[in-house]
This record gives sequence, C-alpha cells and structure tokens, in this order.
Amino acid sequence: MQRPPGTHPVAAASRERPQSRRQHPVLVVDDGGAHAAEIERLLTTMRIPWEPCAPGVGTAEAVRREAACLIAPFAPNDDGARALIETVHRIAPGLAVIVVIDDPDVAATVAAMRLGAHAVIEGKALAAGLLHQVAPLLQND
Amino acid sequence: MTAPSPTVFIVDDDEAVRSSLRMLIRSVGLQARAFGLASEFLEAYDPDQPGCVVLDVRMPGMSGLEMQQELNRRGATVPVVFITGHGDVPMAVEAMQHGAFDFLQKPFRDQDLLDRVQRALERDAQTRAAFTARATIRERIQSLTPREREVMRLVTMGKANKVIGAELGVSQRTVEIHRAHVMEKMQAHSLAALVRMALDAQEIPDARNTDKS
Repeated sequence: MQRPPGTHPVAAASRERPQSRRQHPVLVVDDGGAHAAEIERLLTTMRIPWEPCAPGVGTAEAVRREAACLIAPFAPNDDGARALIETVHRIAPGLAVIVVIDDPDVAATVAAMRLGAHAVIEGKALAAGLLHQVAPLLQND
Repeated sequence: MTAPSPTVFIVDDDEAVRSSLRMLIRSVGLQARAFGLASEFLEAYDPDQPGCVVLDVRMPGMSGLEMQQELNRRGATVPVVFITGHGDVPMAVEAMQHGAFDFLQKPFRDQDLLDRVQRALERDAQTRAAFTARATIRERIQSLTPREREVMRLVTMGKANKVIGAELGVSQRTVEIHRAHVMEKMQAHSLAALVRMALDAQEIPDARNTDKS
C-alpha cells in the first residue's frame, strides 16, 4: 500500500528541515519492502529530500515532476527493471534511475546498465553505495 | 582510398590469456593485436584505426579502468569490452558509467566474447559513419556564404520566406534565391532533409534532446 507523501512520517520529517535552497527530491519507489524503508531511512539521515511513489502507474506519474533521480528496489529475478527504465526514459528522458537489487551478479548489473540504468546498487551495500551514486545527481534550484 | 579493416585490440597482462584471445579472434577472420600493458596500447593507439578493445580490468601499472578514463580524456570513441576474473557490482557500474561497451566476467564462453566483440565492432562502424556524415555536412555548411547560412538557420527554424525577408531586410524573392542556393550546396532534396542535416551538425537546437517540461 502506497503512503501519500503528506502522511509519510520520514518524508514529513525531511520536509521540516530548514533549507536555504530548494533541492529536487529523490523519488523512491516504495513497494513496502525492506529496501525501500532502508533507502528512505538513509536519505533522511543524509538530509536528502525524498518522496515515495507507488510502483507502476504511481512511478510513471511521479517522474513527470522535477526530481533528482529515481531509486527503485527490485526483488531478485524481478524482470520489472526493464519496463521501469523504459517507462522512465520515455516520460522523463535524462532522469537517472538507480536500481537496487539483492545479490545481483555482474551480468545482471551490466544488463541493467545497458538498459539505461544510471547505477546498480547491491541491497546489502546500500549504506555504502547510496550516497556515492545519489550525491552527484542532486541539484539546487 | 579504402578504410582500414577493423582490429580487435587485446590488452591483458597475462600472456596465456593474450595468446588464447588472439587465436580466438583470428579464428573468426578478424584482425587482432595484443598488448601486455595499458601504456603500450595507449602509445600505439591510433584513433583513425577502426576496431574495439578487449581490456583486462586488473593489470600492473595502469589498470583497465584507468586506461578507459585516459581514452575518454583523449575523446576516443573506440568501444571497450572489459574482461575480469575479479569483477564485482561496483566495478561493473563504474566501467559502464564511464562508457564501457560491455563487461564480461571470466571464465566466459568463447562465443559470448565473440558476440560482444562483433557488436562492439558494429557500434564502432556506426559511430565512424555518423562522424563522417557529420563532417560532410559541416563542410557543406562551411561552403555557404554568411547570408546563406543565416537563411538556412531561419528556414530550419520553420520560418516562411516572407518572414525571413522581413527579418533580414531583403525581398522575398532574394530569400528564395538564397534558399535555393542553400538547398543546392547542402545537397538537400527537401526541407525535412535540410532540418535533419542542421540537427546533425548541431546548427539548431535538437527538440529530441530537450529536457522534460
């Protein structure tokens, strides 16, 4: 079940922070899984504004707005990454898509990158890999 | 003058790997040249030579990733297929983010490498053809007079002869003559073809690449 940004406790907390300049938010595809929760926790800790969006149509709607990037967790062997990347590139060309996968092998990583993913992060390496990939994508208005 | 045949450049510090890859690539009728060090390849690298690079990630001295970055610094477009026995996800991501054509983990099947090499050579041929076409268009644009170039810019923006005439302070008939010269010199058979040429030569902004609104 998708939580609307206004009622999301962590998102609300991130919006309460004073910011001198408005930063485009990071969109997080919130499938209710552990990775989505961890991504949201890390972004909040790093004081990076973020907004959750529902998988599928919710994501397609969300990427029409200005965003720093989109982070999408996927279950192992989930072939939804292709559809997601293609959809995002059609609707919001240029928006970076960061894919989070549990234990991806190199072949799966390369396949996702060739599809147009900006980066692939291992689920278990989120803490180390998230900021490294997201920071260069953050823009201020 | 015929274009040189494509060459597969193998860069790997392991002599046995170099030798077997060279044999594999030659077995399908392709030219292959092998180097034991990244620096040796960079010294011999000729950007006019079509081909692709099969590059080991981990090497003494300059690593494969460092060599890729050096090629990027030089503006090289040669496709790079990485091979590694110690690959991990961050390494593959970094290589792909820096423009690697592919990233293959050892041990791999011979056919897997050959497939990737063939695709890399196709990509290189496409890139070179696009460069050549762009250079030809730029040469044609250089042959235009300043006034013809101005007319071309306005025509490809979709402006009518009458409007162009008013903007440039000349008669509609004069614009028509300039326009005819532009079409002839650019060897454009239609306005659509002229617009495509201008886009390819980056004479006008490409609406296909504009950001989302």
